[in-house]
Amino acid sequence: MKKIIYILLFIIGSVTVFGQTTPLTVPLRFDKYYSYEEMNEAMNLLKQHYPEFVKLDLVGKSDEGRDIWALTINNPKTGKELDKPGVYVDGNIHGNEIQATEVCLYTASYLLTNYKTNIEIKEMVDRNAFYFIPSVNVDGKDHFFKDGNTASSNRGLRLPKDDDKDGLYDEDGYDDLDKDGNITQMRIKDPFGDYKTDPEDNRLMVRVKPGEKGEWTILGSEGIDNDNDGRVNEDSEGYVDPNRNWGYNWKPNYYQRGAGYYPFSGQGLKAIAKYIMDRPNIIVAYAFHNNGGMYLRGPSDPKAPELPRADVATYDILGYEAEKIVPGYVYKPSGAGLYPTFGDAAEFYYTIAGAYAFVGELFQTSTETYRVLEEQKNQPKSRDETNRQRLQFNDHLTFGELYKPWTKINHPTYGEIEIGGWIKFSSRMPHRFMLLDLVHRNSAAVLFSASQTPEIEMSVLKKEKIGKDTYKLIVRLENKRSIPSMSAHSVKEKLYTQDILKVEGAKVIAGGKVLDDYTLNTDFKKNKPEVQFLVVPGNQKVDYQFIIEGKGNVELKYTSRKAGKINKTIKL
Amino acid sequence: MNKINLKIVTYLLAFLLAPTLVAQQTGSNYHDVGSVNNAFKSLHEKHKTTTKLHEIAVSSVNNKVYIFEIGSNLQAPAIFIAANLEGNTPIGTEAALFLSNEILSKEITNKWYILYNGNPDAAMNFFSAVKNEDSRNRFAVNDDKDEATDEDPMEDLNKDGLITLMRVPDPLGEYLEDKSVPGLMRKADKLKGEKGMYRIMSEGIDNDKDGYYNEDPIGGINLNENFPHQFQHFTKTGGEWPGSSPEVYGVIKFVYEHPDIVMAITFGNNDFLKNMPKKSKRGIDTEHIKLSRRMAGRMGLDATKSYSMDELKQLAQEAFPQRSISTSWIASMAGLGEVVETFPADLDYFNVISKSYKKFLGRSAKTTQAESIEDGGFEKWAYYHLGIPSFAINLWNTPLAKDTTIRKDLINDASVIVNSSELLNGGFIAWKKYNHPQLGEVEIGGTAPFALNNPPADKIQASLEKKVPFVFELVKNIPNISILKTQLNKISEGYYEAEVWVNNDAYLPWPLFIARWNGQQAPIILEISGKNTEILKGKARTAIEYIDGNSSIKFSWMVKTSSPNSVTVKLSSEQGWSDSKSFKL
Repeated sequence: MKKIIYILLFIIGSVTVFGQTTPLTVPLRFDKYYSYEEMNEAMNLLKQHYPEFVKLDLVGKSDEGRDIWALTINNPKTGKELDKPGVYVDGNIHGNEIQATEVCLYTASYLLTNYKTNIEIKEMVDRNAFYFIPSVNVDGKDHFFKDGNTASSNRGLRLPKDDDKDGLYDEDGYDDLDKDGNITQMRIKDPFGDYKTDPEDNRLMVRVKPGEKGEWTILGSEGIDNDNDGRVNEDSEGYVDPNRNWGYNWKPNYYQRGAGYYPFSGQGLKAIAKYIMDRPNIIVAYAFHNNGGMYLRGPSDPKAPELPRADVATYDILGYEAEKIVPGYVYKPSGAGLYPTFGDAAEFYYTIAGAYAFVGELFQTSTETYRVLEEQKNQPKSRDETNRQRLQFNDHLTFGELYKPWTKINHPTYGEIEIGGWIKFSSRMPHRFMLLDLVHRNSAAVLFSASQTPEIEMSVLKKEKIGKDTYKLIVRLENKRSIPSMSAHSVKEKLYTQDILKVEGAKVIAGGKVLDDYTLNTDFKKNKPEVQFLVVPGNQKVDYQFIIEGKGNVELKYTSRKAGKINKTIKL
Repeated sequence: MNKINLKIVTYLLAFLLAPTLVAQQTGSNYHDVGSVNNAFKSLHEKHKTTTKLHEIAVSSVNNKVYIFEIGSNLQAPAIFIAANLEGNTPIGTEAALFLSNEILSKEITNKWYILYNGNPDAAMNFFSAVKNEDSRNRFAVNDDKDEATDEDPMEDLNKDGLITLMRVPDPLGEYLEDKSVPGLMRKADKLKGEKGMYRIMSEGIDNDKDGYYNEDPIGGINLNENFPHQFQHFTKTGGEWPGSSPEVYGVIKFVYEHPDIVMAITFGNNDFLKNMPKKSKRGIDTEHIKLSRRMAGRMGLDATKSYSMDELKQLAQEAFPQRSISTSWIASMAGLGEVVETFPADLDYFNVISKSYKKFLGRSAKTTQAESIEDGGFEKWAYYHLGIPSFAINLWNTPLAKDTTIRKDLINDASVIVNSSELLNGGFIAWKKYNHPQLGEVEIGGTAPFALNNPPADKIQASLEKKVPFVFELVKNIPNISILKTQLNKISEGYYEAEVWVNNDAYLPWPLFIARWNGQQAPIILEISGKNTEILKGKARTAIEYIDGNSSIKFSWMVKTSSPNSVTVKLSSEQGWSDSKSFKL
């Protein structure tokens, strides 16, 4: 009996090798992947350790009823959350793309643990409100850890769909035949097959050339014909793609696979959209995915016109910096540079929430190297070569953790077959020894943006008496950082009220934007000159001239949805 | 009487008159939001086993949105009725109530989901002391994006209880009065050497003194612009994204949770059955489809050639033998884009139904044109996204002005003026001088709110009786699918061919072409089973993808069985059709 328990423990241990259940501590560790429960526990731990800065909010419930939590970092001593620029970071919208969670947890943990010792971090925390939703697709995440999966399965929402149109929903998914938590490949000995054993690495197979004799047929991913319809794995879980189910430029399912029946049919997504819309101060948003090494911005529809020039300029500052912070990453527009998407999250953050939004695609296969330095420039030329290289990496750097050798198994339909291949914690995410580097670099890219959120200063350049109780005021609003107080898109589409500069306590005879610094030529506003609507561009200033009549104290009030508030009193 | 006494008397009078005013409103045959809810509640109380009342949403000002279900005891295809989504057609709500009573007075053979008051926020406008025709719900929107929300609404300046228009003499104005019908305003025609004299704006003052009049009224989102088909972003009244309003989200969610809905009928401003869309060249040409280079490459086809849908389905099936290839699969893989025109195959059926509608109405006096169906609305969404026939009936049209010289674009306004005395809320309010506190002397007048699309109280019953019964004619067209016949042919001892004829004995095919394209309708499933029975050819579960109107299709299997008498075939569907039959040798 004891023996069996030991064997069981051994099996369980080897299954959870990537998500070990060691007690969590602060600072959080990043040589491991956090399961759904551990992620929530980690967020709670951060709150316990930094109660003055951290707030946890229950955003809502997923489609399967799991809690979706958000973590806010705000220093109440430097102001209210909504009065500061908001930096929003989420990840793991695709359930399998788990390391995005670690980027969020790491960034939060880093800000909190370095607040007291690092002056730049302190400034970022004091100036901004940070919002993290480490896992958008909590159902997918939980199933990814707990069920048998490939590196790409359990991506979608847990909304049933009849993929094979037989009137049954999700009835024929993968089956973890060897119960190891991974869905690997099935192959069968077949002299008429298209594949033979790779002469260079007998774990791999290569296509037979014309005239050559075959050895193997690849049967696809581990599974059986659950519904006895003659096909294997043809109706697996989902599929509504949570990154095609958002409300901007959404297109129906026949137009774009994965759209779902209607925008925000995913209840968790709907709750997250509300969470974001309830925080109108969010000006920078990052959505982390797991594969490709990219920082993507909109437009995500390649047929859509390019973004307004001023927004591209702002994106360029942040995007090109990110390319340098994370070597190998490419910054580009997602639609023209990758593929078209409709109804994706980041596009919603930009077009509807008015934030500068990036998709970060985390993993790069090319980082899994087993080569001497001068060879590193020579990337593998074929898929077979890449696979051989990856296997070498697996053998020499992970001691075989990432790849399951072929083993014989009896299949109810196919008879004796072999199963084997890459485990789910591979191929789209780094081995845990490389995780810290990945999350730190991406976190640094986020924090660069956080260092560039608008910081507006108000000054009175001139106060000149021009008559009895009549004064001319020149008020300057200067943005000390690169990100404007409002995106050009938001201005163009009138998403919300622009920044307001208001004069109170005196009669405003005339007021308007100064067009020329030297002549003070001013575009005086016809109605309500005491209220001016404006945007302060990045690293720039805007000047306003007011002709006012009054005595005593006059209040100058600047209110911005995303760049804070300033009140200044001047004495006439 | 001194001033103070006068004031007191006025207050007293107002106090005494208030209850009678309220009583008049509820007694005026149009049901306000509360009384129509009560009417449906009591209908539900009266028919407890056959009806349900679903609360599907709560508006931002706490108005509940309900769907009244009839036929709760049945498993049958359902009809969805959407009434008064734009709030400015209370007659639509009356029609829903009238229809519900009609259904409940007969034998119930279908299921019905009746959204009887789709936009209760906007519907309140009809019953308020000052009537303002506005289709927006009360969700707070800062229309002019200034520092305040809903701060500059219309005002009833002349205290006639109606928000109408102001014409303001202005050398920059573009409007003048048309000579043909006194009071009719139109734009000056520069080509004819005309000069505009008036600006036209809604009745009210510039509350926030920003130079604009009534630019930020109460509300909101026009729910019939908030549906996902061809939703337009960044408009004034459409909402931030499709389904951003709780009311519309509630409708969408309910509809997808009820896949038995096979037909939608709207009671609102549109009359789809009278204003059929024309066949258009903008539509997708299903006979000449070109593939992208990538897709053509994958299928081993020529990207410069065009193929018919049937050809492509066959070629795709050869290229991907493991997949079940459908029209919808080709539509999505070929990247043919969003369908924005009614497919001709469907339009042919609709045109026939439209003719029967006109026949049903009989020769009646000519009336004004109903509004055309808009993108972002319920009507189009039901067809394009759900893939079901979607009909719209408006319950009231103003009698047409007979003067043939009136321009087409002015005909609705002119008809209101000509028939003013017979219309709701006084029809047309003649222009009358008013001393505007900000604009000086102006004139107030124009079409009274709700007059164009709703009958006066004494004509409610007649207009309902005239049009609502056609709903039952429409319902007759709903596919009726059953197993017509089964037959077992002996091949050899223990080996049989099983044949099943499935029949649709109604006019419409199932599903429409649009549904084959968008893949939205769940398949009808035939299951064949028996004791000690093995299926040698064919599938245990066979999906019926399409069946024409008034047609049968035959399915066959080869089975091995030791007890042929136990073999049965079962037809089931999410739409509510079900049947089963055993086989006879």
